[in-house]
Amino acid sequence: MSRTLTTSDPTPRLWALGAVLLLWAVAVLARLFFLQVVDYAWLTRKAERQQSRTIEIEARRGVIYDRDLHPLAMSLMVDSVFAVPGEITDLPAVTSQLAQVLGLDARDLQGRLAASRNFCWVARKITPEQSHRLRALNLHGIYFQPESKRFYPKRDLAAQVLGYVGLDGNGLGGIEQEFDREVRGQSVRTLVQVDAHRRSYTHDEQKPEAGENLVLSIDQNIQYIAQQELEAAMQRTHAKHGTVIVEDPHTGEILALANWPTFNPNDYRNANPAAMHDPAVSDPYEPGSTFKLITVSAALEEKLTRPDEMIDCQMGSIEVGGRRIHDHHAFGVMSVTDILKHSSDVGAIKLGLRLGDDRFYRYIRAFGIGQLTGIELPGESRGLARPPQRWTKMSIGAISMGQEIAATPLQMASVFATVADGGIYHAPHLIRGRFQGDPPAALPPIPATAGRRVISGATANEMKMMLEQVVLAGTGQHAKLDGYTAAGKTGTAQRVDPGTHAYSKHNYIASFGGFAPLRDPAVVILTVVDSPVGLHEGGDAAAPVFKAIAERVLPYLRVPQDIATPPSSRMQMVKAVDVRETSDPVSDLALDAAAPAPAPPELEASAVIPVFTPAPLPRGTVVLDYDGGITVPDFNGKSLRAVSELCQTLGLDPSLIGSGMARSQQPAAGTHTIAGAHVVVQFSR
Amino acid sequence: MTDIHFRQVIDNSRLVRVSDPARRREQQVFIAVMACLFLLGFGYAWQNYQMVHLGYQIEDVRHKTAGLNEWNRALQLEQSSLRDPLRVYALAETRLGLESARPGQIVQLDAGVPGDRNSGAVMADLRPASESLPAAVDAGAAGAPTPR
Repeated sequence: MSRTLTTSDPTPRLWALGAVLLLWAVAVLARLFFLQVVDYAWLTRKAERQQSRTIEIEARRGVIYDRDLHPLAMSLMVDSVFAVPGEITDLPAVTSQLAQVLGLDARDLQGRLAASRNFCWVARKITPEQSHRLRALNLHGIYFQPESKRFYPKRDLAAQVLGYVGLDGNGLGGIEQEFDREVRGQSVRTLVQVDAHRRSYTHDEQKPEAGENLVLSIDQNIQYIAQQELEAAMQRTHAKHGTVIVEDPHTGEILALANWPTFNPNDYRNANPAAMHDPAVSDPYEPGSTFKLITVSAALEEKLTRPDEMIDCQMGSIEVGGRRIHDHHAFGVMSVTDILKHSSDVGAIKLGLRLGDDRFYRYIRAFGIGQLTGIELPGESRGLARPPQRWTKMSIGAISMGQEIAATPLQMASVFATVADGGIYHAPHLIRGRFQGDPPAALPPIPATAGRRVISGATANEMKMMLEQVVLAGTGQHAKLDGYTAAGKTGTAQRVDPGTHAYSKHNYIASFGGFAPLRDPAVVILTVVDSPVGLHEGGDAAAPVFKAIAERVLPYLRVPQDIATPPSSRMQMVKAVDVRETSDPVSDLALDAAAPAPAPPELEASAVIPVFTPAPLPRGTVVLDYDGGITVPDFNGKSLRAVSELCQTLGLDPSLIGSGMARSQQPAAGTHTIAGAHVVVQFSR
Repeated sequence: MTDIHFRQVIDNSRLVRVSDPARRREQQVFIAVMACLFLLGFGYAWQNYQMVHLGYQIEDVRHKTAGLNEWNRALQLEQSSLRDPLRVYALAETRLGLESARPGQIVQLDAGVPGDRNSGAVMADLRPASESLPAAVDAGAAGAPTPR
C-alpha cells in the first residue's frame, strides 16, 4: 500500500539549490583558475616578497690584541633603526618620540621620513639603552637591524696605530685600514622565511666568514707609559706635536708608538683631524744632530777616523761649497768622541767630507733613510734622501749635520736600533701574529729575522761607547738613568718657516734617540718634540722624556739594573692595598666615563702598613713580603666559571680563552708566582 | 473522570535486516580509504605544522645563542675596558696612593718562569746586601767598572 505524504513537489527547489551550488562551484573554479594559472607568476613573486627576506649577515670584524692578548679593538652587534615611512600612520607623533629617545632634530627627521615611502635610516648603531627604550615604544613602521660596531676599550691608547672604523664598517686609519680586507671577513646574504609578523622561522645555514684576529707587537702598558710621559712633556714644553717610539732593537718590534695630540677612536667623528694621522710614519722631519749617528758610524766603518782622533773644529766655523757654516759653539781641537758628545757641526761636516758624496749616500740608504721601512701602517713616507747627483756642493755639509735630509721618526728609531743591535738593521714591524677564532694559549714564537748588517759589530760597539758619553757628560745628560746605563744622541733641528722658506729662528724640532742598557739594549726610545716653547734643545725638551719612559719601562720588562742606584732612592716598603677591599662601584663608574680621575679618597690608616716598621732596614737589603706567594693550581678539567672563581680567590689575573673545560694553561700547575700574575687558560669542548 | 488507555502491541519481529556482505565490504573499504586519506592529510598538515613550529624553536634558540655569545663578548669588552691601564693607574695613584717604582726600588730576586714575562719572581728572604742585589749592581756599588 502506498501513501503520498507530500503536499507539494520539491523538484524546482532542488533544481534551484543545484544551480546555486553549481554557480558557486563554477565561481570558485574560475577564481582558482585565475589564481593558479593566469596570475600564478605574479602572485608567486608577491608571496615570495612577503614570506621571505634576504638579509645580509655581516661578518664579525676580527679582534686586535696587544702582544699579551689584551683586546685593543673588538666588535659587538648593536641595533640600527630604520623606518618604512609608508607604514607610519601618525608621522609627527612617531618622529617626535624617535627624536626624543635618539636625541635627533625632530624637524630634520620628519623631513627625511617624509621624503621616502619604503626605507629610511633613522639612526645607525645606537646604544643598547636607546634600543631598549625604542623597543618599549613599539612604534609601527619602525624596525631594527643589528649591525657590527667597533669598540676600543682602551680609548685613546695607541689610537693612531689602531686607526678607526667608519659607519659602514670600513677601516679608515692605522691597522684597521691596512688590514681591512683580512680583518673584516666575508659577509653572506641569506634567505629568511618570515611569517605575517615578520618573525623568521627558518633560514639557510650560511655563516659569514669571520675576520682574522691580529696580534700587535704593542705592549699596552709600555704604550700607556709612553703616552703618559709624552703628554706630560707636551704640557711642560707647550709643543705642538710630539712622538715617542719604543722599539725592541733585536727584532724590530714596535713596543709603543705614541703621538700627541691623540684622539679617542670610539668618538672619531668629534676628533681633531690633525690628531688622527700618524706623524711617526708619515711626517718626515729634518733629524738634525741625531743624524750625526750615521755620519760618525760611516766614517768609523770606513776606517776614516777613530773615536780618539783629534779633529780641529776651527772654532766653530767652516766653509762648504762656498757657504760658511757656523757651529752652535766655538769648539777647537777635540776628539771624535767629543764631537759627538758636544754635537759639533763642524766636526761632523769634516767627517762627512772625508766620506764623500757617494759613500755617505750609500750608508744613508743602508740605515734605511729614504726608503719605506715596510711598517704595517698606511701612509708611510719614504722621507727625503736625494741621490748624490742632485746634491749641491754644500749638501754634504748640511746632510752631515742632519739638514737637507728628512726622515720619519720611525726611520730614525731604526737607525738607533741598528747601532743598539750591534750594527744589524731589523725592519720595524707591528704585527706579531694572525689567527682565526679563539686565541691560542700561546702564540707561536716569531722566527728571528736575520736582519741586514749595516756596520760591523766593532763599529757599533765604538758608537755605543761614544753615545754613552753624550748621556754622561754631553748634550744628553738629562737622559741619564737611575740604575741603568744608557746611550743616545740629542737633536735640535730648525723648522723651515713656511712664510720665508728659510730656517726659523723660533721653531725647532727637539729630539732624542737612545737605548738602554748599554751592554744588551732592551729598548730603543726615540722622542720627537715639535716646536717646544722655551727650552727647545733636544737635551732639554726630549731627553727627559727618554729618561722618564726608560726608567719605567726597563723595570717593567724585568731588565736587571747594571749600575748602582743612590741609596736615597732605595725602597720605601709598603704593603699594597687590596683593590677589592676598597673598591667603590660608584667611583668605578666615574672612572669608566673617562672623566678626570676622581679625587683620591682618604685611605684608612690601616690600609697602608709598613712591613718592617720598627727597625730600619739594613743598608742594601731588600725584603719583599708577598704573603707567601701563590702556587698556580691545576685548572685541567675545570669549568670556565670554576677557573674564574679560583683565580679571583687566589688573586691571579686570568685570560680565559675558548669555552668548555680547561685543557691547557700557562704557566704550568705548581708554578710559584706572585699575586696578580697573568695566567692563560685554554678551554675546549 | 476516568481515562481510558488503549494498548497497541507493535511487533517488528517480522522485519529482518537483509545481510548484504558486498555493501558492508564496500563501506568498510570506504571507511578505511577515508581514514587513510585523513591520516595522510593529517600527517602532512602535522608535519608542516611541526616544521614551522620547530623552525620557530630553532630560530629562538639560535637567537638565544647569538644573544649569549654577544653578551659574552660584551663582558669581554667590559673586562678589557676595566683593565685599561689609564683606569688601573688612576685607581692605583688616586685611590691607593701608589706610584710607579723607581729603578732603585725594584730588585729582581728570581729570573722567573722562562717564557712568561708576567709571572716571575717571587719569594724573598732576609739576606745580606751583597746576596740580595744583582751582581752588576753590587759591582757598580763597589766601584767596579760598569760595562761601557
